[in-house]
Amino acid sequence: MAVTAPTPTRSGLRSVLLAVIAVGLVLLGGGLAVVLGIGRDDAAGPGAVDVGFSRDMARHHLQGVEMANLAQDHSVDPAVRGLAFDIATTQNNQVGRMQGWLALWGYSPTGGDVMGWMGGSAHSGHGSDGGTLMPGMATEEELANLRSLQGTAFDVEFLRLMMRHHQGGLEMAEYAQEHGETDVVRTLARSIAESQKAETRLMSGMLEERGGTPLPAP
Amino acid sequence: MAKDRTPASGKGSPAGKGSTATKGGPAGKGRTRPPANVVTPQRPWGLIAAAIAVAVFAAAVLTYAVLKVNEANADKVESIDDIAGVKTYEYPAGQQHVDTAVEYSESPPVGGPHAPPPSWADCTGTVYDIDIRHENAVHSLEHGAVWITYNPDDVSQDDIDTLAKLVENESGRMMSPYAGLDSPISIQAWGHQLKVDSADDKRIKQFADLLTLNNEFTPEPGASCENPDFIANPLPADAPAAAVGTGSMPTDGVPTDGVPTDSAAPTTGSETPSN
Repeated sequence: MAVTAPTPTRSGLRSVLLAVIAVGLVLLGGGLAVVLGIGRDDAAGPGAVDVGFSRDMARHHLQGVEMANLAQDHSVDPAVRGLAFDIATTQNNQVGRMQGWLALWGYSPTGGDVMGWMGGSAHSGHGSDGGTLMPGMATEEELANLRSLQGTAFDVEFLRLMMRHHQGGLEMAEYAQEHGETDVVRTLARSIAESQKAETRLMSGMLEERGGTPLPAP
Repeated sequence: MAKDRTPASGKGSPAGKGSTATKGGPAGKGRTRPPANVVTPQRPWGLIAAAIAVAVFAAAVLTYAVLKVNEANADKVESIDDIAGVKTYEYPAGQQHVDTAVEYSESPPVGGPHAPPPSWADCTGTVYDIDIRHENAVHSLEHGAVWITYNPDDVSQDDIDTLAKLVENESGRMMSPYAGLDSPISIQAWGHQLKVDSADDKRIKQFADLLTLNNEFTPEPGASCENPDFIANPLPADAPAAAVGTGSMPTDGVPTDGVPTDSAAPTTGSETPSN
C-alpha cells in the first residue's frame, strides 16, 4: 500500500517534542524562581516566622506598654518614669509597625498558633494560668499586684517584671532575626534584641540601687 | 511518459522511470518487490527522552512550589463570610459620647453611642466576673476589642474557663457575664455579633482571631485597651453614668510610698486626664 512520506511525520513529532521541552523548561524555571523566592519582595511574601513574630511580639509588646503606662501614676522617680515613657512609646510604635505589615500581608493581628512559628523550641505555657502566656509575660496576679503598689515599691516591682519581660522577648527576637524571611522583620527583630539587651542591663543596675533582686529568668 | 513497458534494467536509468513503479525499489532493478518499509522512520528517541525528563522535572518543581506557597498561605485570614451565623450591623465611626444609659437595639450591643473617654472598659485580655456597664464596653468595641459575653445561668464553670483561655493575655479581648442573654454565649466586635450555644464552638475562636483589633472594621485602630481603674473598679451594668479615668491616683494626687490607695469611689469627670 502506498505509504505516506515519513519525513513530514518525523519532523512533526520533533516539533512537538521540542515544544514540550521548551515549555517544560520555562515552567521549570518559573517554578524554581518561586521556590527560591527570586523576585519576591517583602510586601508579597512573608514566611511563617514573619507572621508569627509580628503577631506574638506585638502581643508581648502590648503588655510591656501596659506595665510602663502604670508608671505615670504609680511612680514619682524620674529615672523610672523616664524609662517607662521610653518603653511605652517605643514599643507602642513597634506594635503599630507589626500590625501594619500583617495588614499588608493579609493577616489578622491576632490568631495563629502562639509561639508555633518558633519550631520545636516553642516555650509556651510558662504562666500558671491556662492562657498562652509567652516567655517573660506577667500573669494577671502579678499585674494586679503591680497596680496596687506606689512609689519605690512600685519601682522595684516594675523593674523586676520589665526585666523578665525583656528577657522573654529576647528569645523571640533572636529567633526571628535568624529565621525571618523578610528584611523588615529581621531588621526589627535585630534592633529589638539589641536595645532590649541594653535596657535589661540598665534595669539590672537600677534594681540593685533600689535594693531589689531580679526575678528568675523566663 | 514512457509507453515502453520493458524493464529498464537495460537502460540503466537510475530513476527507474517508466518501469513499474515499485516504491523504494532499487534503481535499475526491475523486479517487483513486495512493498516493504525498508527504511523505518527514525523515532527521535533522544528527544522523546529529553521531553519526558523535562516534563517530569517541571511537574515536580511546580508541585513543590505550589505546596510551599500553600503552606505560607495556610494561615491566611478568612473573611467574615467564612464564619457561619455572624450578624453584621451598620454603625459608622464617630458615634456620640454620652454619660447617660443608652437603649441599644442589639443585646448585647455592638455599636452606637457610648461612655466618653477614657472610660472604656479595660480590654487587655480582661476576664470580668460582673456584668460590666454596656456603655463602657461599647467604647472598647470602638477601639477594636472583641467582647465575649455569656449567660451565667446557661454555662458551666468549665465553659467559662474555656472561654477565658481565649481571652487571657490577649490584649484586645475581654469577657463578662451578661444577664438575660438570649443565648448561652454571644461574641461581639464593632458591628459584628455571633451567638452560639457551646463554649466549644470553633467559630468563637475564628471570630476572635479574625476581628480582634482588625484594621478593616475597627473605628479607632491603634487606640488603647488599657484602663487599670476599670479593672480595679469595674462599673456594673446598672450603674449610673460615671467616667472612670485611666489614672489610679486618688483625687488628692499624692501617692504614698508602698501603701495602696483606696480608690473605691469612681472618680468624676473633672479628674479625667487629657486624652
